[in-house]
Amino acid sequence: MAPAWTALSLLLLVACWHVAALVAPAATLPPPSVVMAAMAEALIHGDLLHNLGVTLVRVAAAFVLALSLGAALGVAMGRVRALDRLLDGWVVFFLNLPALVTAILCFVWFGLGEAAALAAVAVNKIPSVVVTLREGARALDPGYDALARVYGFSWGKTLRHVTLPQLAPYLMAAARSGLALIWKIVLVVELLGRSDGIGFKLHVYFQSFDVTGILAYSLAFIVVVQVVEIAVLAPLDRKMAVWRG
Amino acid sequence: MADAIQARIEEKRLGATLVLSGLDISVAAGEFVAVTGPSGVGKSTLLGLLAGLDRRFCGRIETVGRIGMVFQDPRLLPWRSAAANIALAAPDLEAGAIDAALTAVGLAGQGGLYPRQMSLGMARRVALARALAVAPDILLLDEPFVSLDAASADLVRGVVRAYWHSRNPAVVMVTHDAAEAETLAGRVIRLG
Repeated sequence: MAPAWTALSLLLLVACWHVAALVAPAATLPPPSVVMAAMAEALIHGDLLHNLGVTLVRVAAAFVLALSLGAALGVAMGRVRALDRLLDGWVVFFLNLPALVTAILCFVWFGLGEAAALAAVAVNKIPSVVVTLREGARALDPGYDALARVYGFSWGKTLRHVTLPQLAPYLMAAARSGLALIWKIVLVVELLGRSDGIGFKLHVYFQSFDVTGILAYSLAFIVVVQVVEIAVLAPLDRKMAVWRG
Repeated sequence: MADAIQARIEEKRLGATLVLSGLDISVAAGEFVAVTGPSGVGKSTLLGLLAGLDRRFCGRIETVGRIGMVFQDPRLLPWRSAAANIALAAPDLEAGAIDAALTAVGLAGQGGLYPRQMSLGMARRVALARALAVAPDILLLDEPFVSLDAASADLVRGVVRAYWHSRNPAVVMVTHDAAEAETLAGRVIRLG
């Protein structure tokens, strides 16, 4: 029944939008049909696909970078008390640093390049990954480590069969919130300092107050992020449910 | 017969508390030794030291051969089935041998179950099957019959005894039950 409820819920949202569009001036809030048509037009004849692709590559790169660095640092801090004490202040500092500030500083310091954009996104996301994975590392059961040692598991075997499965729920949580946060920061970074991508296009449409264009590009991107959630993250969740019950 | 375990534990502390001191233990290959004593006297700590799990102590421990251990809790990996838990500890074992190991502990055809689907008694039997599957030269058992119902305890006792008779590993069994220690073991070490 869940898909039927989701469909009904989305349908209700579109209906509310349609009613609101009837009341509001056309330039302020175009109806769903007009936005859909604009999206199709941009998809077929425009540069939607190109910009979507560019943004997705940035999201993927920043996601991998933030998750791998954040996980490594988080696990290390969860396991080594001295490191945790040393870096805890940094984590709190960077957690409270607004994405906009990081983006501006990265562009000022490193130029309006791809590396600066990625660094800005990663620096924003890494602290929250660190916090999540630090909790995961603290919750690791030393009993399973003992088991691995008694039965002579290699380092790699322990990591794969003992440590990672215990961290999996924390990695999933970090991945979920990471995906939701990173694509939003990527748009800000693109708006500020890139000449392609969804964020850049939103900037262009904003300058001409083209709400239809803004909504068309935003919707296309939301759809893609939802597809990633349904096609990648949800199946991973189901796989874990086998043993968690 | 040569010793499978030679241990000289001068001092073992947990934090500030002195848990074990001045302990000399040797277990011959093929010998069945029980370690008894009241709760908190350091029985499980001793077993951990013999298994090489804790090296923070003053003294010397030498063991010869492969170790199989049954912990006080079943300690099965929840994300692996019963058969996969055994296979991880004994990777050279073929599927048929894993089935046989499960059959020996009264769990024929149950290899696909995950730990959450098992009762505590079943999980403990899988843990025993895992310890035996590695064909241990030294078998360390930490309260292997505790919190089992009478029938399960009898079954596990029978499996341990049969394995010891057929394969003759050195066995160190920690138990708080003096009668059980006398019944199974050839020698009883009392702590505390």
